[in-house]
Amino acid sequence: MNALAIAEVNVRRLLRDRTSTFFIFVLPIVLIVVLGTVFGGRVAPRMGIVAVESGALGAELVDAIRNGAMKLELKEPATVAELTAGVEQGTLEIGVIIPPGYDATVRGGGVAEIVILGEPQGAVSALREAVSQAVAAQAAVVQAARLTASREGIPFDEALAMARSVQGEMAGVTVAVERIGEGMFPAGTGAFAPGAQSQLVLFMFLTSMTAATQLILTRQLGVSRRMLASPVRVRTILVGETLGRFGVAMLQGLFIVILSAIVFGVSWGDPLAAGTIVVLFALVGTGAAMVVGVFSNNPDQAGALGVMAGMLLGALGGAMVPLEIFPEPAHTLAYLTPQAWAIQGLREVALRGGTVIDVIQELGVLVLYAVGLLALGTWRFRRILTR
Amino acid sequence: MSAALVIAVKDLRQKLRDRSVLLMAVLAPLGLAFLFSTMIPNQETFHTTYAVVDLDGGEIAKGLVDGPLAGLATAGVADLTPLTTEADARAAVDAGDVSAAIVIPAGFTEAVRTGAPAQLLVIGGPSSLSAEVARSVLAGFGSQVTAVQVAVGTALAAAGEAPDPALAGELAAAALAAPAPIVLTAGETADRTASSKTYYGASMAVLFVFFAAQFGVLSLLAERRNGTLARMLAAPIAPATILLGKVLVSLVVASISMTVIVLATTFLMGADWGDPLAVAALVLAVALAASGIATLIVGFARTEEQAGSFIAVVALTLAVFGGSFFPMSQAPEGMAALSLVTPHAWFIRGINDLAAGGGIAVVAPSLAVLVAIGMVTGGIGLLRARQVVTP
Repeated sequence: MNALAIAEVNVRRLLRDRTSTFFIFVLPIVLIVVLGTVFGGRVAPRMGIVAVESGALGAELVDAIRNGAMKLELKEPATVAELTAGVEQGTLEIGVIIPPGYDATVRGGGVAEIVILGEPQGAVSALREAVSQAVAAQAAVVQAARLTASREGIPFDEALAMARSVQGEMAGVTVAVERIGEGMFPAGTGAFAPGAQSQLVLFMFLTSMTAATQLILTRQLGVSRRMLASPVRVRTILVGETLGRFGVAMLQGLFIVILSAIVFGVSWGDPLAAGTIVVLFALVGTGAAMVVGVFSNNPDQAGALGVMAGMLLGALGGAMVPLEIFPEPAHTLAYLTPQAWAIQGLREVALRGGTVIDVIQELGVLVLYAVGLLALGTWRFRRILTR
Repeated sequence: MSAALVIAVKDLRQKLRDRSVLLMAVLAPLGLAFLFSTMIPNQETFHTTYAVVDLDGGEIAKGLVDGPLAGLATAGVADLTPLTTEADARAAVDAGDVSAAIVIPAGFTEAVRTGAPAQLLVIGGPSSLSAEVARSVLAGFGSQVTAVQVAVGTALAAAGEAPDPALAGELAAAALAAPAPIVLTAGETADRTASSKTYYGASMAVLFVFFAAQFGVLSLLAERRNGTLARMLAAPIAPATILLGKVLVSLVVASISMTVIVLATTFLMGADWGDPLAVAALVLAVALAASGIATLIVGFARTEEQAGSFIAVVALTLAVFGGSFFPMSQAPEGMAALSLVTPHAWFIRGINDLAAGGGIAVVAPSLAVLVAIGMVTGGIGLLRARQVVTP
């Protein structure tokens, strides 16, 4: 009972501080919103096309690119200068200029030049295939029309119409596409889900880490000495301090889970499996905070060390950038962190309908981390307390 | 002035001995910049791998493999792996050995020659863009190889003549000889986006510069609490001098932190920041902006703890919206516009502008905005902070 009282004081002390509540409740939600807006709505590379005064054939080419094989977000800046600026600043992955008078050049028998803008060449060479495809189809009918018009002495437009109908009737070469395997995230993953999972893991750990500072303050202010003087056993103080940190991390975890589910419709999957991961991860965070707390000399050091460890492990463990896009060896190294295991487990449960059985490996690793860190932390803490 | 310097030098020595300054102002940003730039694949260099299965072996199939597909390899877009059966290709895609497979079915050449329906197959894996690129290439190739047939067919239809092999041959030759009516050329652009190493160095530096800049002005509140401020005021030192000393410390610690990060990312990680003079100006300007914002917060805070945590809140919020965690070029336009209220966005923009070469003139807009932010926030902050040092 005494342990619970110590824990309660701990939680209250943190919640009364308004800036702590910002970090615990507001910032994670802000990040989920921003990440969801920036990456969630983004489905395809952006192509900018300027086809000012390029005539009917130019407009036809733009339509062909829009409906081509490559999924693109098509933007149409008003001027070439605007297009160039977009490409240079990276807001457009590729720029395409269909010159003014394109239609007349093509109809008149000249060679029309389409300019492709973009750096670096690697990405642009891939995206320009969308333009090549549309150009090849148009060039085929134009060439047929030119040949026919010159041989038969009929107007170009008439020949072009004939060529189009011949091309339409021809069996030609078609391309079938088959997909195997799933994308980075399964189809139907909401815009906010991956961000919510990462932010939950990142912030629960960071919150736990700030507790390291409090641990030292408790010691420095003599609170723990006074507690020891009262008829409270060392073990009770230890359990109480640990429970307090754990309570704060859990409170934050629940807040993020519930708010993201209600406001952004994020699904967390099987409650038992997801809940177990969250609880175990809160324990890991608590353990890590105690370790930092007992090995630091002063609150400033513990604070800085805690935040840095939280950020670095978060980054390395895929809580800032999705693990799914890590190259090797970073991908393998990531699994040295508890964050990576927690995120992998949450994804499995939320996105692929996993149950406790499916994430048993992730749970096992988290148990090991929690037990190891808590044991190390409480062992040292007992020594410091009783010193 | 000399009194301000004495105060500043004493504070600086104190700060440099404190290891938490080193952690927050140098090690944390460097560590994060290093992690981000090594972990996040450079999205600008799209590269994919295709398995190619030629079950046809005919001339047109060869034309596809040696033409457009070999072209992709030359352009550095894709690595090609020849495989012998469709099952092998499927297995390779499934295992993730290649991003997609391209299958040319048996009888493809014959079908194209006789005008029968011909179908190429793309087996795509998780990367949808890889499959889409392959499909575009194949579709474009399909239009090219049937172009001659379209030309012959149209000419014959216009003349109303029966398909006479000799005439068809003559028409085909004419169609083949005609120059391409539409060509694609590469235009010149300057690359005004910094490399990912530089970007993450810059974004982490500007995120943590706020933590560096807080140290000087924060100690004003600490000294008031400890009573050392009252003792300083009892000495023949003007209150403004004390303020000046503290602001100097903020400016110097912030500039040193940024400078160390610039140098360390350049020499240890291979970042390329651009013209040194322009980078130095940007560093000073952003140190001014961060010190100004820190002074503003200190001016309104009651205690050191309150100011410290509020600076952290403001720094992180500005960083999230200012593009410290992901390039704003990727964001929707509204959010990119919103980011321009933050010093982060202007600093990163300045560094991006330098990527194309050029000197201090290129970054003039960024410098102007950063200095303005620093002057306005710092000015208001100093007016408020006068109350702190008024005896």
